Amino acid sequence: MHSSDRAGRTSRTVTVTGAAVTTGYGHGVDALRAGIWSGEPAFVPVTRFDTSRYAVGVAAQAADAFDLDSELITLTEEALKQAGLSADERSDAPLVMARHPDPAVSRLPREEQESRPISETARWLSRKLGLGPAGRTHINACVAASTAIAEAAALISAGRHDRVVVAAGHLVDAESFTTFNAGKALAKDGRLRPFSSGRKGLLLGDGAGAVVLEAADSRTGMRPLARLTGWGMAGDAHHVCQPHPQGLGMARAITRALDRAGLGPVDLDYVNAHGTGTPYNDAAETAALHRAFGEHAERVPVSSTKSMHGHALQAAGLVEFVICLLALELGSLPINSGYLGPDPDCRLDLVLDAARPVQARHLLSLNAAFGGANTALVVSAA
Amino acid sequence: MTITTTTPGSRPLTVLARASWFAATDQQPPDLPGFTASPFAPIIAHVADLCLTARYQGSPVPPDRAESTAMVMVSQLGDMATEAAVVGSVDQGTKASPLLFFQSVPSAVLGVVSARWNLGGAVIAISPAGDPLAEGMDLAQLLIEDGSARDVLLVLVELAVPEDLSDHAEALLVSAEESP
Repeated sequence: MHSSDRAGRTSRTVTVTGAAVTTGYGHGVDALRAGIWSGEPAFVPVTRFDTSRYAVGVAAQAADAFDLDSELITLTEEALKQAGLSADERSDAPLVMARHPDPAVSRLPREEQESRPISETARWLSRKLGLGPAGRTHINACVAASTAIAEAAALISAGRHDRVVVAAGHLVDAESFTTFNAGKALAKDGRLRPFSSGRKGLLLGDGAGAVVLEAADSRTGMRPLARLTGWGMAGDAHHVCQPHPQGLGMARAITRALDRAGLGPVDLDYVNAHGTGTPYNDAAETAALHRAFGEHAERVPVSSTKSMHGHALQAAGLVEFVICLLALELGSLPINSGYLGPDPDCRLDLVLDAARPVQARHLLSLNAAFGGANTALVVSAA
Repeated sequence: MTITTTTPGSRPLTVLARASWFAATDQQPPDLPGFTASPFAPIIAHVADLCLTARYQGSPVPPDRAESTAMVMVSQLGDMATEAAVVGSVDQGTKASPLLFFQSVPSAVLGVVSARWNLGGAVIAISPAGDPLAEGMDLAQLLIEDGSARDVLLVLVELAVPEDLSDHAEALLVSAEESP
């Protein structure tokens, strides 16, 4: 299936045919579906390492013993099986990844570190699962997974590949706790309250997963879960770690994604926001939504599911992408948990108290990161 | 200068400007306020400045190019010096510097570069599975072909791990358009 976008480029329709994920709710999409739509956050006291030296001791931790590489290979295999790819089709599919450098490599003798690049995981997964050559590993923090998904979509849309596998992983570990504690970014009240008055900051969460993206009608027997109809990326050009207060970069990313999808704000049924529960981020993201949507900004339902599964950093975009797939499947929008009351800087139609039944057609997933990076993905019903 | 990329059917990219920096032969880059414990960010900011200055003489980049100029940082190992500082804090039980919070993200420094030069395109950082320059050029080609960027500032950086090597970086401003 081919189409031409507004810039006149010929592009192929990108579909999602496989998805698997592990979060603080446990292993699998079923656990995520049950957890998120229960409305109960997954935050628990961290038992994986000693948190007594940190201001906060809770996170959405999946299991005490959690090996990220083992989980990634299991999840990627599950996504490939759901897609139903043959051995030949697997061997054609490159793997694009998102992850943070493994802290274990920093503990190796210096002479051994050079042979352990961050892309090592992608090469290992590709080899083990019979996939094509390992692709790039995205390391741009909280937009790493969403950027990897956008790259995969571009590779398919441009006709370079019929299918691309995207895997992403982040583990709640002592290293991430150390840096987020040093930055006073963790919510001392133990709740992540996006867009709420009295929000105190974020909480971390495990996240690992894989999705299979394929060109529509590129093989027989495809069973698309959804279409990825738009993707946009833009920078704030503002600050090393603070978002632009008017949301300039994110608004540009949204507009680019909607333009690519051939949609306007009125067509959107839901926004899965980045919503980290930090005062700066949520106000800037609200400003971006108002800038991009205009008068429609307070009519599109919004929630940040980080309020329940925590911030999965390099894997956040993939976890939230899968939640968008589930929202389409269920005909129901997940809640924005932890809400205490309105903030005049966050005027949005938040999904509060109970999941909202909506037979959605088009959803928007947003992410932002240090360095002023912003991404927007439009997920549409199959 | 035109570089032919390896992607079949793709238009070759034009290198609009290019700069490099080697710790062994070049002066140390200027300190970068707000960054500590690692030369990674100062090196990236410095080599990006050299490259963009070669093209535009000074900041900012003209508005008609700035919003569509993406940045792609390419590094096999990332910021190993900052990683070592974080791991050291964990292992020794010492309090980490607040600066390590945002610096632990290797792409954070791209916020400095984009703010200095008003670059509003995609902000991307990768660890390549293959040759860093080839992978970076291939991604730049994809971004341009996909309509996600008009120009791409590629910054390749590697901190030396073996004692007998030195830190090095290279920046290239590339475009599918001919250099005027």
